[in-house]
Amino acid sequence: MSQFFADAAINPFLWSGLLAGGLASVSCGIVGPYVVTRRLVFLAGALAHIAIGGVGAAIYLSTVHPQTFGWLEPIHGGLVAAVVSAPLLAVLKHRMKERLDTVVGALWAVGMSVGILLIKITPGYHTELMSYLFGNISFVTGRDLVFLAVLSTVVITIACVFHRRFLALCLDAEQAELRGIPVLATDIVLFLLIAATVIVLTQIVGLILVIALLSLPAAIGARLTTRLGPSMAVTFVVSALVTTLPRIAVYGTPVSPEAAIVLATAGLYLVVMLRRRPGVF
Amino acid sequence: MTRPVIDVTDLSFRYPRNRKEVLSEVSFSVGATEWVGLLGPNGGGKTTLLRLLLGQLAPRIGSIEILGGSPTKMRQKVGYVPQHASIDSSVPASVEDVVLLGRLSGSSWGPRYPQLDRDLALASLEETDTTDLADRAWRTLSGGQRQRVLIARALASEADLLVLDEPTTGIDIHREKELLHLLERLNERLPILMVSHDIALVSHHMDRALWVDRTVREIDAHHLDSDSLEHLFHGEHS
Repeated sequence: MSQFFADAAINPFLWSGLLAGGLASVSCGIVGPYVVTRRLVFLAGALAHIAIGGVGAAIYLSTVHPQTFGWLEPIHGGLVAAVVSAPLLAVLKHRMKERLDTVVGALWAVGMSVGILLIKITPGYHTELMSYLFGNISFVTGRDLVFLAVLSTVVITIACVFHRRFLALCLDAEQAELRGIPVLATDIVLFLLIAATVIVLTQIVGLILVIALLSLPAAIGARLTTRLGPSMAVTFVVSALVTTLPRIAVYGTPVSPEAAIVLATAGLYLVVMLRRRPGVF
Repeated sequence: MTRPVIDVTDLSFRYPRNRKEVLSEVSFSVGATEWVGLLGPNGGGKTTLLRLLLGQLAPRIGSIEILGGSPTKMRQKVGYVPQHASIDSSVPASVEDVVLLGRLSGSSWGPRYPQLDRDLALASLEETDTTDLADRAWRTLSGGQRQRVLIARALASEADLLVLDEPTTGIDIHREKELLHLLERLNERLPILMVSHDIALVSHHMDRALWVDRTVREIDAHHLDSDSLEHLFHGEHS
């Protein structure tokens, strides 16, 4: 641990990584509780994997047609794929009550396969997909931090405007509809918010970590609180702790910080689950 | 004579891609001070009728007037209490959060409910004797407490009509008595339409009863017993 702080004095990437974790925690703290309480973890996972198709398309187009698409970065393709599929998934959630998991599973697999296929047929060697899957929290740039700060501002603004509607959907969508709330339209806004969060965070912390960060801290928050507001606060604190402490703890060891973050979060969730069952501890 | 709060005329309905009509030539009305029971066999169309009255479905033929307007226009003035709350117990929500859903409307924007909404929610909890539950987590409530809170939610919407779907299902006799006493009190100022399978409850507490089995017909609520119910189930007129 002391080695981390000694190196941080000369390596600014270590501080920017910690700051990125803190900023990611803001988005996870707000969006995570909506994802968990509305039971959208699977759909959020699908969004992230469908986006791989967009990442692959962006890499293919920018490499094969550099004169037309040279400006295209992988995140642009991922963002387009996620933003287009978010309303589609929202509509499927409303229309396909029974076969939803099958259809979403198919979209998940197809999106990922298309991305892998396009990267395979793209000339040259490309590491962007690995970066998309596992992130790179050790080398967060100033541009990434700006991205995260903008995302946090957008997430806070949309959540402030829509919170009562999102809460109503999480609690009782039928009652929300009877009270005049357009449930599908509100779900589409929520899905777009989740899509933006997933894509921007995936650039920094990776696809695997973003699903863990969107679900586990929020599940801990839901366990420990009785209202959604305090649940968001607990989720933010847990996210901030698990993106900071395990990273510092494994610094200088062969353990990857992303894996340490996921395992520490899962371990904490397990402890909270068992602790809340009388007689376990 | 005052205008009925529910006025259904020659209503027929069938679901898309289904040839068989779930409800056919249904006509009935509910007066402004009445407590009316809806009885009928499973699959007889009670749930469909409720969904039509709440504006969740549109009639194929015929008309429905609720509080003098169309169901979709007036549904904010109808306090609906479902049989089982679809509120997910894993959601971190207090009783006050649940009751405040009754204050939700198309103009609800922003993170917090205004003070007026919070005051009305607390007044509804007081009316249903559940003020002490306001800060409790929804997931910790018993079945009886949940039903009272859902009635509070319906009242918080400043409803002019209460529609309840088997509110006594799954609660013990003591809590059922308390609940019926509450509904009697509320019926002094609100008309109530209530689905129930309990003939004793219908005959003791309600002004009228309607038998729903593809069509709707009036039955004698005060002389309901297992024999008359048996006749109704077999399609014979009582």
